Order: sequence, then structure tokens, then C-alpha cells
Amino acid sequence: MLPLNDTEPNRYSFLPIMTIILIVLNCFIFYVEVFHVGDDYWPFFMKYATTPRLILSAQGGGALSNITAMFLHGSLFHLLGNMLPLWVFGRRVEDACGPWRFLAFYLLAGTWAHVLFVLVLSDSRIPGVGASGAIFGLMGAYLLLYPGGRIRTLVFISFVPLWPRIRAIWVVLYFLGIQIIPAIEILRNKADYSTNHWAHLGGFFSAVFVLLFLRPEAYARYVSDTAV
Amino acid sequence: MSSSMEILQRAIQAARAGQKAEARDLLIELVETDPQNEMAWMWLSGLVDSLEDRIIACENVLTINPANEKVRVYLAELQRQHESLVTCKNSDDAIGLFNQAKAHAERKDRNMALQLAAQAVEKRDDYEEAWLLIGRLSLDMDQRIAALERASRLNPANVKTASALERARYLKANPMSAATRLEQQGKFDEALKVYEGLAAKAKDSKEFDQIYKQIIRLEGLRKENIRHVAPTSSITRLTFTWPLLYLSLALIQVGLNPFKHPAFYLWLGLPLVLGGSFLLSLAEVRSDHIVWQKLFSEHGDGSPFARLVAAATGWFLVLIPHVLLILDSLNRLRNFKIPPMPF
Repeated sequence: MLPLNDTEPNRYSFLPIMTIILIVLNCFIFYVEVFHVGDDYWPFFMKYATTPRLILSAQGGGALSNITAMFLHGSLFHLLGNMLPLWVFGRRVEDACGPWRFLAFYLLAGTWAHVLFVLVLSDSRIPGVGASGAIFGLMGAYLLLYPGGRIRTLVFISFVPLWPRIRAIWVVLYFLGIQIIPAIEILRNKADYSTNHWAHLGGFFSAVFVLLFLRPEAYARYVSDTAV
Repeated sequence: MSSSMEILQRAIQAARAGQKAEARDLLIELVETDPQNEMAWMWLSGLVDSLEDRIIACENVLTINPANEKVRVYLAELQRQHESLVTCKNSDDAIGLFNQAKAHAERKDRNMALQLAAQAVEKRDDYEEAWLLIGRLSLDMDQRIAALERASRLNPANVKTASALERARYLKANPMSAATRLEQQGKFDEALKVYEGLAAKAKDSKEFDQIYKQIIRLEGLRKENIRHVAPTSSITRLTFTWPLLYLSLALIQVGLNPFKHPAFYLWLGLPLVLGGSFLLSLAEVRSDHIVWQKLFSEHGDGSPFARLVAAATGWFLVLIPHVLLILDSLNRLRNFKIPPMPF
């Protein structure tokens, strides 16, 4: 299942400028990572990724690493897998918040994703990277603001590609669902992990804060039970 | 009979369309020819101006149909109001009239309160409080200004009166601001009326288009039944956005344990971010805030210049602690020894 687009138009602004800037920035940083860091990635990740043990001992980059980690990706697939949902869910959340508050919310969701990750895996020395925690925050925010929204989604049924418009709740629940079992597994067995499931959950639950970030018109619509 | 029905229907249509005078004339014509028409008297009771005429209309309804309980209750209320008016008139008591006016104002009965306050100042021209009440309640800007001027002349030392007078003058000179203010208070219908009045007096097509956009927007809000959110509530809500981010980043910086890794300078940034975020919210949400008056000596919801200054100051205050936080992180990175790979 791969979300492709939200076909509904924007209400308040024409261009989702901050979403575009974030996508471009992520791609540019990935380019720097691949072509300028190369094999010497360990010191780079230690400095600019979120490592629970370093965060808890107040060593390393702290708040800065927390932010830079949101812009680092492990592979091209990781980058694309994050940028597509950033576009799909970010565009209308930005429309409801305005570009600057959207940026603040994005960073807040990413930060709370890291907070939960650090708290749950406090002994870990494996650095966490990726925008996915913040993007799960956007997914949760999207669900809160546009519960009736539909997402054009690529699905494969017996290797046949289909792209129906699926209710956002099913798309988000699918992505949330595939986090929960591995997350519990990590917690119970201190299992090794390659995907930061707890950061995803942390990001998702931070979505409740989006109500603080809405533009006044969008908030008035939200409290009036009208489409935001 | 059919002609009576037609006249009645025309009168009702006119009344619903807001053409009060036309509806009243039609109904008076009707009751002259058909004095037993209960519906005509009922509608007339709501359309005549004076309290006495309303009472007569209601009494006529009850003469025709004594079982009409709604009208009986309405008549009792009208008679009560009439009695209080008469009592005050007879006692020639301006204070009594003013107290009545205040009581009606508290019950949100603006018209009655204004009528009584006007009578109070008729009895006693130097009654400052009554003039102030008129100045506060009147929707007619000229009447409001005249009342406040009178109150100000009576007591030039009253700062609040002077401020209210300045504000009223500002709103008269900037009727768009008056409409915006009504909108901010959630009085969409009154704001719409002001906009419509302004559109009728627009100097050119550009101004008309500008006002027309506001009318369309407001009508859209009414149509969608959008609830009014007070500007103060929006400002408060938005004020917490940037501090929340700063607080989260600062928590990460101190290893999620401010007691184990104290860094007091980080918390000093919080009030700055809070103040900056407040100014940013204030610059965005149009509101008749006291800050505009205190800092910029402006009435209304802030001029573009005042908003620009507030926004620029807000961004400065928000960014400075964030930049210092990042510099602190960079400083830590400079002294950071990379641990060996765990695998």
C-alpha cells in the first residue's frame, strides 16, 4: 500500500510552500549524505542522528541532532518512502496551519517521535534517522482534521496494480497497525530493530497538538464540525 | 375576504423582507377595513414603534381571541415596562429612570435601556452616567459620539470616557474597522449590515469590490454555520505553539531530565519565546487588543505598520532563544568524542 495523492484542493493557500521546501531539503541533504559523507558515516551519524544513550547523557548534539536526524535518510528507498507521504499528508495540513506553524508542528512531531524512541530504547547506541516520526505526526493530524478525506493509494492485488481512492482512516490505520506488533516485540524482547517503530508511534500521538497550530479560520471550522 | 388575505400576506412578506414601514401601513389599512382580523393585530403589535401602540394592538388581539396565551404573556411584559416608565415619569426621577435603564441593559434589552437613559438625561442634562450609558449602548455612531462628548464635557478628568470617545471617533472615521470589530465580537448580522451600508456608499468599483468580498465571506460563514471563536481565544491558542516547540527542544537538550543536567540559561529563553509567540499571534489575529493602544497609541485592530513591528519583534524574540539553543548544541558537538561502533 503506497499513498500517492490527496485529490482534494487546498482551501486557504495555493502553494504548499513549506512542504515543498522540506522535500527539497531532505533530498538535498540525502545527496550530501551519499556523495560527501560516503563510508565515513559512523561519526557523521553519531553527531547528527538521535542516539538514545547520547541524548539521555546530554552528550553530542542534543536538540540540534534531534532536528538534523529528521533530515537524514539511510537509503534512497527510505527517502522516497518518506517524501511521498510528506507530500500526500503534508500539503493539506500545511494549508490548515499556514507555512510557519506547519514547520513548527513538523519539528514538534519529529521531536516527540524522538522523545518516545529515547525513552523506550534508553540503552540503545544505535542512531535513529529519518523524517518518518514527523510524517506519522502529519498522518495523525490529517486524520484529525480531514476524517472524511480520501487518498489515492497504490495497492497490489495478486501483482495487479490498482490505485483506488481509499478513506484516509484506512490508510493511516494500516500504517499504524504495522507499527504496533514490532513495537511491542521490541519492548518485550529488547529485539534489534532496523525501523524506528516507537518513533513512528511517538510522532503519531503528537498529532493532537495540531489543534494549537491551526490558523484561526481553520480552527473555527474544526470546532463547528465543518470540513477544515 | 380574499382581498384581506392578500393584504395580510403582502404585509407579512414585507415585514419578513425588513420593510417595516410598508408592512405597518398595509396592516393599518387592513385593520381599518377588517378590525376583527386577529392576525393583522398580532403582526401590527410587533411593528408599531411606541409602547402604547403595542399595548393597544395586543389588547385588540385579546378582545378578538381571549384564549391567545402568547399575546397575553407579551401584553403583561409590555404593561410592566409601561408601568415602570410611567412610574419614573410621574416621580420625575432621573435616577430611577437611569437605574431602570441599567437593569434593561443588563438584560440585553438595548432599545428599552436607551429609551430610558434618554429620558433620564432629558430630566437631568448633567447626568454623566446616563450619557455614558447611551454612549456605550447606542449603535448609531453619531449618537454615541454626541453622548460621549457630553459626558466628557461634564467630567473632563475621566480618562475612560476620553478613551471611549477617541475610539468612537476612530470607528466613525474607519467604518470598515467598525464592521471588523463587530465581526470579532461574533455579531455577524450587524457586521453584514455595516458592510452593506458601506458598499452602498462606495466611492469607486475598487472599493466596492473590496467590501463585496467581505460580504461574500461573511455570508459564506453564516451559510456554513461557522461558530464564532473569540480573537482572544485564538491569540491564546496560537501563543502556545512556538513555546511548545522550544520546550520540547530544550528537554531534548537536557537529556529529558532538567534536574540531572541542569542548564538554567535554556529556561530563560522560554519567556522570550512566549512573548514573541504572543506578538506573532497578535499580528496575525485581527483584534481590538489593548496592546495596540498601549504600545502604538492606536485604536482599532492595529495599523499595518503596528502589525509589521509586532510581527518583526515577535520573530526576533522567538528566534533568538532557538538560535542560542542551536549554538549550545554546536558547542557541545565541538567537545564531543565519537564513541566506537557497538557492532
